[in-house]
Amino acid sequence: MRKEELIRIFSRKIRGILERTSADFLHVEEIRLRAGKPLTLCLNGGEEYLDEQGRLVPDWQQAYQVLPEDLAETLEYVSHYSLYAFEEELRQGFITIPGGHRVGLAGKAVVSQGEIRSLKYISFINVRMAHQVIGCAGPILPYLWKHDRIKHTLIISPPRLGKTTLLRDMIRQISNGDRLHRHQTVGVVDERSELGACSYGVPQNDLGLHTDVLDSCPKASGIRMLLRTMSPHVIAIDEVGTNEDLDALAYSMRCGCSILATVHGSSLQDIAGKPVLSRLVHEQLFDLYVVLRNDSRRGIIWQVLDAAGNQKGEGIR
Amino acid sequence: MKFAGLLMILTSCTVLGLAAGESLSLRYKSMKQVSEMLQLLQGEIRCSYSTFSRAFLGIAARMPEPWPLFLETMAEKLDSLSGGCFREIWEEAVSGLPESCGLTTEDRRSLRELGSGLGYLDAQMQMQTLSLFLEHWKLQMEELRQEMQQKQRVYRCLGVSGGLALMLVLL
Repeated sequence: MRKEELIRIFSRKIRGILERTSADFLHVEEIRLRAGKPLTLCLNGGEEYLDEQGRLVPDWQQAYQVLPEDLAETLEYVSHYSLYAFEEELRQGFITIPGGHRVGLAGKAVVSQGEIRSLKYISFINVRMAHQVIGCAGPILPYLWKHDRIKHTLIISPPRLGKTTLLRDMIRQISNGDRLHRHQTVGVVDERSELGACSYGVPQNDLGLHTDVLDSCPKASGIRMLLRTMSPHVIAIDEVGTNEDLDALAYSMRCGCSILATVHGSSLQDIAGKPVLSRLVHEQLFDLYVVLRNDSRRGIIWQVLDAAGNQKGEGIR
Repeated sequence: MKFAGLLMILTSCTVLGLAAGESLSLRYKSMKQVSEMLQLLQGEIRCSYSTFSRAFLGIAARMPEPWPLFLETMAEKLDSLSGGCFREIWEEAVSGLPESCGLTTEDRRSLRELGSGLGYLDAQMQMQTLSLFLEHWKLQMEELRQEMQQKQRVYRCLGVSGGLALMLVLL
């Protein structure tokens, strides 16, 4: 999405500031709006403030202070004047906009019977720019193929090391196929809209030519629905966590469908020690594990392990 | 020559009476279309949780003139995010409806006021706002329907008798 298109979702006042700024939007990671607080850009791992003229200023007191009206107006634009159409997204705390960017929202939660019903007094908006890393799964992918099928593969990674980005690129490449392998039909159950970043049902991220996406759908019921309706060769889901998810995964494996999934964790042993997820390891549901870890000197390391935990390969992302 | 002129006066007055009656029919027809349009909007919100712009575009294809233009203009303005709140955009679009659509000033005022209740809070709120409006709107339609036949007859009679009276005066 071009800068002009992205900044349309902001209030007219902030839009003007962003239009004037010289900050390179290619490197902007987040734009943060907090009521009564400075307009903030997160770029290159740090935070900078914008003043009324669009200049990057180090002192927050010189920055433009976001008004509650800015937040209300921005929310109107993000929801296309139809906040009611995003009730489910509000419950989850974010709205995905065209381009795959994620607008995170926070304020006062409206809770009913212990469940979040909605958000009100929205006073914090965080626009996270979508970034795809096309080709990042390339070195790992050869380990996943077994003839013309994909092995059941689980990506294990701590937060913020790029497991979703890796899974997204795996989906794309498997769905497109390559010189050696025929393309596979991939079904994606995208409960949090992180893989496809669908806007009005259309994936904003490239998930390949033969991918069907079930957006904002609970994983367990989504897997069963995809199996019944789209006959996928591969099913991909992000962040497995509950027993229902595992049951649905096991069911789809019995149906002859390959599984690509991710899970939060630091190692195979870590997963084996967790109450629900240990089942994944003990029942040897997966043929392959891809473990991501951060090495302060070398960067992000990937490691491929077989079902028994033997290392099959290693590399740096 | 004089006789021809008198005949023309009679014809004109009769046509005026008929036209006045016809404007009532046109108003009723337009009110019915508005009612159908808003029911479709309710359906779009209830069944698919569509945003207003998507819903308007979906409905535009199902409506007769002049409503497709009204709905498409609304969708375009909402999607352009060029500023202003929903109420302002709605009011502007209602004001832009052609005179020929048959709605009276009072009908347009009611329709304009609907904009202030939409786009606010959740889907249930939209449905209730629309239901309330439709209830009121249908009452007005019923009143008009009941009056219409009687008034049309009166307008026709007034047209003809007015023409005859003028003829007599001019004779």
